[in-house]
Amino acid sequence: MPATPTSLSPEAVTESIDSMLKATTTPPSPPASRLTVSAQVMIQMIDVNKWYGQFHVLKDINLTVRKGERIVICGPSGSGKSTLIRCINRLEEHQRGRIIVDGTELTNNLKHIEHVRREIGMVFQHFNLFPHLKVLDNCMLAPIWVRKLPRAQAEEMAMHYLKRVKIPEQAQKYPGQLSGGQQQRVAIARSLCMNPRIMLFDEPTSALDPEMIKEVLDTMVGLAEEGMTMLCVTHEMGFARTVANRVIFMDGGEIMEENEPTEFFNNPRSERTKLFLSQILHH
Amino acid sequence: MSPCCWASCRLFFCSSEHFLTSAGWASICCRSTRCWWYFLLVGDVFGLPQVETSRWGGLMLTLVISIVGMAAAFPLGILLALGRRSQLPIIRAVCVVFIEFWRGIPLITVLFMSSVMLPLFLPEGMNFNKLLRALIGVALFEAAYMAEVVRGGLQAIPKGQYEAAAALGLGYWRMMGLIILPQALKLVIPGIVNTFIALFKDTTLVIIIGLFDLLGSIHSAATDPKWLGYATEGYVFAALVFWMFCFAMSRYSQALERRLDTGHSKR
Ligand SMILES: Nc1ncnc2c1ncn2[C@@H]1O[C@H](COP(=O)(O)OP(=O)(O)O)[C@@H](O)[C@H]1O
Ligand SMILES: [Mg+2]
Repeated sequence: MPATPTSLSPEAVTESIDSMLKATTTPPSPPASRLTVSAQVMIQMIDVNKWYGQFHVLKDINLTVRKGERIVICGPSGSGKSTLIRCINRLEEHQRGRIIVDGTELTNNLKHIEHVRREIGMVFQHFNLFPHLKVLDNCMLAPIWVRKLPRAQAEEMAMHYLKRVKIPEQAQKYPGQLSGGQQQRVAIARSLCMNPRIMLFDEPTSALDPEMIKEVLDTMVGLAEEGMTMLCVTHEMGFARTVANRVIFMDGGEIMEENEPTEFFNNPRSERTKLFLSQILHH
Repeated sequence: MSPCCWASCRLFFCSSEHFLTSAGWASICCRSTRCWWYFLLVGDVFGLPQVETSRWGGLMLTLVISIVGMAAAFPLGILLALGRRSQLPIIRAVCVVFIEFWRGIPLITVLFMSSVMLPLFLPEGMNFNKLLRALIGVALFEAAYMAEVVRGGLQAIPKGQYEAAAALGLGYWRMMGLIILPQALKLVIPGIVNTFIALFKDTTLVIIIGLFDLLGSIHSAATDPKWLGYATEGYVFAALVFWMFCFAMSRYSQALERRLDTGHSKR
């Protein structure tokens, strides 16, 4: 049975922000590798199937993501990676199977969907910043209108996260005036302003020039070190090696292989994985 | 407060500093209470005699019809445009039928129907104001055009904007009012102003239902023996006045476009 979404009271939100703001002044958190993954299940996908018309995009996907886990999803283009993570916040609807996010099952219930979306941050390949709003307003919008934070507090939080992604000085600019790397960092800050419990990344560095990839990856590594539950679709294998607990390889809408990064890269089990790895690692 | 109408008002009346505050609302309310001219027109206060709307005329009538028409057609047009793109088949069907009906008939027919035909269907004794009937007709007629202009803007907004808004947990009305409409309306400012200008000039048609707007007054003056021979001057003057108003609207729209430019489309 789906749990009823408990809407956060303003006090609870305020408290969580306060504790978060304090947390940043305490000593830095341990490196990612030493972080323990808790037993709490954040995302559970059970036999998920999805079709686009006749086309079977996702085939019997089973995936469990625990709190604090960092999962990298890779695979050839068109294998259904984006569709998979977009199902998690219901940007795409699955037709069969169950998806349960933090105790709330995704059904047609709009209340549940909006509840789940509030808890999940998403970063897109093409940033999708709101071009008519300043960077600061991009970050403040959802806290004000969805979390109902007072303006001053939303602004404080937005500036906090803009500092975290190292671009507080761009707060008064419009997205169109920033570089790609800066825009993607704003997009990450915008998601973080909602205090998400899970972050989804859909090829966050694929649309960036090489010299900007590092600044975005560094931001993501920082996030991982703080224990954020993350699902990243990416082909940055260096990132996968250092940050991921698990790497998932998808092909033709199926999860072909799922392993911890060292095993995945050194001893890929299926031929398909070997071929894919040789293609992306040798060029 | 509906964020949708809020956004459209913001786009056209408020400066961007008002964004995300209630000050934007306050300023709109302020502006709409400046209706002193209404009392000047209607009279019946401060010892002024009451003036029946059927006796209103001239430039003031032109302005009343066009301003009320624009103010009503704009939000209605936005709602119709949203409705036409709705996921719900019933809402979509209603909006399509409405738009196609009103776009398909000439304004003269609308005015004629509202003033001559409508009273035939109304019960005896129930007879509401001719000006009001004309206003409603004009507003509905222009709303259909406005809806299609706005829909053009909505279609130009990339899917990613909807997805980003949804992913942040914004519901339909907030998504539309805060993210989609501000961008879509900005894109179609030229089209909106085009519609407004057309509406402004179309108000001259009310002469066929016996309301005398600016052009109508000149027209009737030209048939007055005392003013015989001055028809040309009258019509040229009317043309000048209409041109001035239309040109002002056009300049205003250009200034608005410049002010709302955030640099993302120029790259
Ligand atoms: N809206 C859609 N309608 C129909 N087919 C789609 C749609 N979106 C994606 N697809 C198809 O689904 C498959 C998986 O897409 P996607 O999840 O985007 O792949 P990936 O992100 O792994 O490259 C592709 O073959 C794509 O053509
Ligand atoms: Mg993709």
